[in-house]
Amino acid sequence: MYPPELVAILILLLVPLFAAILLAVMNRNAIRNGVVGAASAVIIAASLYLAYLAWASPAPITIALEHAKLINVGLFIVEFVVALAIIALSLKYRRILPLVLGALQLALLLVLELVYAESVVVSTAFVVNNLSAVMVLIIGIIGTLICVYALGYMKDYHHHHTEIAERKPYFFAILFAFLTAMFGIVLSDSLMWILCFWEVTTLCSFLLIGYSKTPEAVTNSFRAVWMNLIGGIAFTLAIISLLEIKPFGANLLSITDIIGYHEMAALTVPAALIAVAGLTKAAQMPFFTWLTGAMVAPTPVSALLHSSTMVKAGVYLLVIFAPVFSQTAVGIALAAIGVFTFFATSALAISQSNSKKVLAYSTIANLGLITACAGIGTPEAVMAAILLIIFHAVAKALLFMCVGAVEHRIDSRDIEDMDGLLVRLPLLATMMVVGICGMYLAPFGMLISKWAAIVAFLEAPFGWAFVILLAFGSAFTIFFWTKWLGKLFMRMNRPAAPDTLLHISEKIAVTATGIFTVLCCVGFAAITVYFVEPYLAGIYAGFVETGAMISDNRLMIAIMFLILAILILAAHFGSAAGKTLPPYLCGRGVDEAGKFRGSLGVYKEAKSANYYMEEYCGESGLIKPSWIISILLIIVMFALAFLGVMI
Amino acid sequence: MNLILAITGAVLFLILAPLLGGLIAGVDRVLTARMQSRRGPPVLQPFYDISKLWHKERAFANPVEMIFTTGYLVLIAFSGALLFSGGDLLLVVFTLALAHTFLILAAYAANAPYSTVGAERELIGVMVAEPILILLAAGFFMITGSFFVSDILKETVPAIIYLPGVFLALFAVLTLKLRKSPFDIATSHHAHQELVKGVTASLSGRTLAKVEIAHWYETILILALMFLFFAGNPVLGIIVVVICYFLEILMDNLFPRVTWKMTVKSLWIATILLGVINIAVIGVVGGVIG
Amino acid sequence: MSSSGKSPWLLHYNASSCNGCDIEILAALTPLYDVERFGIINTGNPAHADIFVVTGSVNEQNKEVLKNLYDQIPEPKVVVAVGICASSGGVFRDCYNVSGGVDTIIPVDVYVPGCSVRPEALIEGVVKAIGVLEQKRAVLDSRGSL
Repeated sequence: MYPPELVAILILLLVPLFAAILLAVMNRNAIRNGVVGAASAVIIAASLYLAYLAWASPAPITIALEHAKLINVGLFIVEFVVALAIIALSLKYRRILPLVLGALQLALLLVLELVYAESVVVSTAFVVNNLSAVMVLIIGIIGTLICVYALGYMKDYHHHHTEIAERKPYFFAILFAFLTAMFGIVLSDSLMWILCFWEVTTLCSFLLIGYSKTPEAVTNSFRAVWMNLIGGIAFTLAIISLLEIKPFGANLLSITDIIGYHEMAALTVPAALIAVAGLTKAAQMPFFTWLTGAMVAPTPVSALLHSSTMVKAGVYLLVIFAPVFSQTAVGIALAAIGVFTFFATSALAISQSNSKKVLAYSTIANLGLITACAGIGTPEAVMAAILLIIFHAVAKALLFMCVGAVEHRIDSRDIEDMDGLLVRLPLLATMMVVGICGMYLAPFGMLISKWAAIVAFLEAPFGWAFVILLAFGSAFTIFFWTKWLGKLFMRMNRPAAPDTLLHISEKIAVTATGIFTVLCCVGFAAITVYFVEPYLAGIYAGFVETGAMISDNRLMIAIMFLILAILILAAHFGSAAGKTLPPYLCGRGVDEAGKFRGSLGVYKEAKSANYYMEEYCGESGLIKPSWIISILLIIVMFALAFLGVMI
Repeated sequence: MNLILAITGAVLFLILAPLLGGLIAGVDRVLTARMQSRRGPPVLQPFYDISKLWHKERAFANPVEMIFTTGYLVLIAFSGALLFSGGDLLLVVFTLALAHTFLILAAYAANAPYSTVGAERELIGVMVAEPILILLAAGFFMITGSFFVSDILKETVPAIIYLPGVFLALFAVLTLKLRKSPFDIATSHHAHQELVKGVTASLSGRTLAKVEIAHWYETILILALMFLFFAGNPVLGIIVVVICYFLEILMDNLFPRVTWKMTVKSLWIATILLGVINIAVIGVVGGVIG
Repeated sequence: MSSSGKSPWLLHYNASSCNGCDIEILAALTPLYDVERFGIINTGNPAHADIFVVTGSVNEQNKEVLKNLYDQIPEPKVVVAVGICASSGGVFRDCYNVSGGVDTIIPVDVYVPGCSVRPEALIEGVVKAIGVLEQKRAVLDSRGSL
């Protein structure tokens, strides 16, 4: 019989796949609801169980498979099919760039298969350490909740967009296929296998972004695909260059072996290539436009791509390579790209009033921070990176789901239209507040992680330069989040539209993610001690408790939580006795419709809008210089890689 | 022993800071009046103001204002207590940002034009001040190897020797933190406010009083941050802090029409030219020396 | 004197004054008179104000504004009608568009006559208003409504 770990892994890999096939074939709402619900329950249970096993096991769980060779061949075939599908679609829509890159990728895969087939050995199939356990939990819980949420969301979506052909079987099948691929990425030990799943995520995201088939969606989906193909090509080249090294007694395609490899100097070029692969998938400068373009897709897709899956695959890859980056100058260059991305996209987010765009830029910014931590690669930095991954996944998924549901209730995704949302849509707005606070305020998760990042930067070479950019980027972050938060808390001057009911699936997903976000914030210390530190101890020899910076402040953070909890309770139960003043408009009255009579008989709505600083932070001004700077940084990174500069 | 010291520091701050802060505000108003060749109010005027505000009718544009202003006051006090108990500078900075978020949300909640514009500009103020505060914490860490005020105070060589640029940038930001400038946001007691004091426009009575008291706490907190640069030489520290405060009043009266755009530009130029370069020099030199 | 009297904050509203009285009000803020000596601040915001200083007669266009401003001042509050127009409507009393003095719309506590008022008279009026303010606060305090 199979060991329980393997059973859990197989459930995680095969159940979503099986569900995807079922969903593709069946087109009855009741069946779809049942399949999605059941599959989600199974996946959540299996991921919890696997995470428990990983946590309980003193060393990472490693599993070797008898039929690894056979699976190799199968996965190769999958890769070919993916590449061929991309080429076929590029031909159909006559897109040159994706076609060329797709063909290049296919050629590289053939080279890999024909020339290097002998040297590709998969010794261990799966490795479950605490990092992959964390990723499994994120994908398993957040990912499936998003799929559940999609059930209700897609009903409204087609109700609002009657011009778009309904292809729900296709949509849900790809969502679940995506989950399989993600589980594959985080559980596999062999880079060959990861590459295969990596390409599958590229194809799936491409298909999902283009779901509506509008010209904009098609253009954006092809942009996503060509950028991600660059990453795929870099990944393939990295594998080829690793195979070229021909090390003695080590299998460089195994992540475990790479990290334990003694000749890091030989790994600079593959590391740089892996860095590019990670940068594309994690939508870093200069490859970030695919993610902002992905906003045309239905919101569950954005939530899935941004929070728990696609982009997280990119940073996951970078984080597992962190020990390599920590000793090479490539890592410094990578960190520079990351922190620069954080800085630039935080500024860009200020200029956006489209809530999904703000979330997109904020995602890119936070991934930049994770990239920077991975590039620095010290144990402290990796700890910050993992914490950022966790908190970002939960809070961002929550925010996307809220924005999507709100959009269908108020017919707008513009932040300017979200004034007084706490009065109009209390549940969604409360959850949105939880998500936003989780993204940037002390003492919640993201800020604590950012704090850990600052500490890690300061102890790293050239860290001071990163801290400077981080300081300014953080200031931008405060600006764009607070002005959004302010809109939600505004009182309503005009009558609120009648509340429309939330679908039960949306309610479940949003509430569960909200609770999960709060739990993660409160249980932050436990996550650090029980999950992150054991992982670091396993990866870095000589790693000792670094939680000192956090642990000394644990009491203070606890007091802050207490203060906030008392304030929230007081807000609920405190007396609101007192006179309500109308909004001050120099003595003019605002009537029940929220309008006022101005001079010369003007009769208009009393409404105030936020600052967007278009002249400083607009996309038109910032994007081009950012591209130039980040491309220069990538060139520098490769120069350092080829020179083999070490720290 | 350390714990007792820490608790004493925090308690002393919580009790004495509003008294001292209010007194400073009173002296500030008298000095300002003298600079304008007026007599000015009694020194205890800020306390009279608070007492009066406390006895006004409860009125608000949005009931959440009461919670938000309480949150602002409590968190500012907490942030200062953290500093005075020898706590982590970064946590002080982050708590300060959280506190200001509460104030800004109180202003947003009114959904009235002046309040909203005030909230936006206050937010810009927070954004402008944030980098130098983080750089300050980073700078102290680079020279002492700790974010903890208790460790920084143990240093015998004053940090000003290593961090003069950061200090000057903090001094520049002080104008904003003391609500002297810009005049299209400042909530000081001059007659020349634009936006009817913007961020507090919809607050009245007790909510306004809480904001005032929080402001006293913050004054002491910021001055204490300046004092940190002279740790190991307290007399010099106090003298410099007093001089800095006087210069702020002077600047306020010399440049009463600084707008928020000018503020953003000038303060960030100061932060970059003084603070960032200072940090960079320390980083490079420290890297060379090891 | 309780703290209300030591910190009276003003809201100044020009109903339809010729600006004569307004200029005198601002003159009271200058170094020569310096009303800040009494803790007086010109707030420009009803939510912060204790004393409502109105100049000029009230016309049909702005009586609603006057009423709104008065309502937005939290208790205790005092109204000072500054100048003869604010007190009674003055020479504009019989105009087709004028309702009359301030007291036709809101209750007035102190009348300061003059055309235009002298700063000394104005300050005297405000000091009287401070007395009224204290009385009102004492009444409200005894009711326990504050």
